Amino acid sequence: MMYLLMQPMNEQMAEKASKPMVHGSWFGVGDGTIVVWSLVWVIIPLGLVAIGGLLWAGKTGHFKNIQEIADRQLEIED
Amino acid sequence: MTNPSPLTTISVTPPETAAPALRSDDRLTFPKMIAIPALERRDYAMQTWLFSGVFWMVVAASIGVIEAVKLFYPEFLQGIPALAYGRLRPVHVNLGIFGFMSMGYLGAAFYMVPRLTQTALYSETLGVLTAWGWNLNLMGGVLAILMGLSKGKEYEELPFPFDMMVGILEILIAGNLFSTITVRKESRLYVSLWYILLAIIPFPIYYTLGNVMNFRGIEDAIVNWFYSHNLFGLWLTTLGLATLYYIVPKQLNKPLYSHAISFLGFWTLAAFYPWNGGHHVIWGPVPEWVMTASVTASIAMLIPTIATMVNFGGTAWGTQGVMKRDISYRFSIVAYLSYVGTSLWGSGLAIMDLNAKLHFTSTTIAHVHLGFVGFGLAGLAAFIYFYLERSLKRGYSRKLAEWHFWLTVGGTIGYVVSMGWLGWLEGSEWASGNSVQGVMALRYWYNVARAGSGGLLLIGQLLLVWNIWKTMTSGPSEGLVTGMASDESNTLKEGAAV
Repeated sequence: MMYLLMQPMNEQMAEKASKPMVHGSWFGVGDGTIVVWSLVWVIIPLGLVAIGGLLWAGKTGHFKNIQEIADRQLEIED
Repeated sequence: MTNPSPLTTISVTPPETAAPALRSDDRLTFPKMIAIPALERRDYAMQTWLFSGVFWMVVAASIGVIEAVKLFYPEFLQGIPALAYGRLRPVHVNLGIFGFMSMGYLGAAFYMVPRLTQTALYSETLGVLTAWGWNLNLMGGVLAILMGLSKGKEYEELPFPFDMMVGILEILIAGNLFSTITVRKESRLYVSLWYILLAIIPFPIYYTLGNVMNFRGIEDAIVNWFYSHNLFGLWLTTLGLATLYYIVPKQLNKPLYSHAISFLGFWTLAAFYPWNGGHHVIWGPVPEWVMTASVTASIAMLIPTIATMVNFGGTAWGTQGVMKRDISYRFSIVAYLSYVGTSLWGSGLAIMDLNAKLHFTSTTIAHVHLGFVGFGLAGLAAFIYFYLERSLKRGYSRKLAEWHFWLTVGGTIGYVVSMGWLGWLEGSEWASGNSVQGVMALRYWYNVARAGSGGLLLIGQLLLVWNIWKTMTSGPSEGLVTGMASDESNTLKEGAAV
């Protein structure tokens, strides 16, 4: 049963290996694009969320008297 | 301060006497509908996660020792397919990542989030069920690997459907913790919460990319390392650092040296870590910009490392007295030093010339174990002792804990030095033209030392398990004073619980 469960993965890999590909391009489907794909869809959104988060934190006063947060942590009972 | 909320405190009672004691405004409606009364005990979810992590830690360490013995005595357990080195190795690795580290530190996260938000966990029931789901899924995945059903890619060995189930369960865990933070009563977020958010939010993205998608050739290798390194950097490291940021100020009874520096460390880690995976394939047939980007990001990791170093160093400055009497704090210091060592070592290994010499040697094994054992295991031990004495108000055996500490330190040093030095020798031999087979004889005694060090680590962790068991099955200690750092007279009684 386990072999059957893994079959879709094997088929997917076999299908991809059946077509010739050229590596090194930044754009274009199937020629190294996947590297850029992960960059575009993962790292840049994360970066944008980070920048947005920083702006939000700055605007809502989270960096004002920031050391008070560390002082407050000590007061929280375990 | 945007919201000077009153200093309400959470009072923690031992589990067997704890009542649900949840205020109606603590919860949204939905979690109440799925609540199972038997599971609705405060900290039940965190205990399930934490002690499951301890269980898998012992199993992973035992398998590691068996593997290490096989490296110098290949006839050991020979002839049993399930115990072949090629199957035990991925089991050891997956149990280390998804069992010991993930579960143990999620236990710490389930502890920290309600306290730092001053809000009851969104759903204890969901927390407990996801923990058991994770346990059963991991057990199924490991048995499948032992049967020879592996995806065959590093850190992606768990076969379908066990790999997908990890992602689904993580989304449920993230939902539970994130919802608690969303409805929090404490408006300002302490740095530990930032690290926990960084751990739980992006996980499904890179996990899915690494485990569900299949690519061809070098693309698959690049994506594989993008996923794997984020698993270490954005999942395990962040959960570990969140825990250290929480417990160290409390152990010392003094605030973190600089909350501002902790943000510098956090944001630079978040910015640079996702690019680090590519340094595992430098000198490979990958686009040059991938190598350049990953090496640059790896060197840039010096910023969060130094920020963390300065922050913990500044907090820990002049606390030698606490180190002597508080074993939990001593473990924290070992974890902190190992984190700094592992991070600097990792940045160094990304330097192309050094990488060419050392990448495929045992140095990499030493590096990984300094991270997993020196940082991961010591940090979790620090949290466990902290939890027993601070939250449960129970006195553990000081004597067993001392043995545990020194066996762990001795085992870690023995392991890292033996493998690190062997790696340097291997790299030098290969650089001078010797073959892989040519250095096999050289490796023998280093591998014996590796197994011996692993044995010390395993014995130490068995003592930890025994100590936890005896402490948890005995009642709360009468008159035990906690907050050791704040009181010179506050030392745990020798053998208080055993």
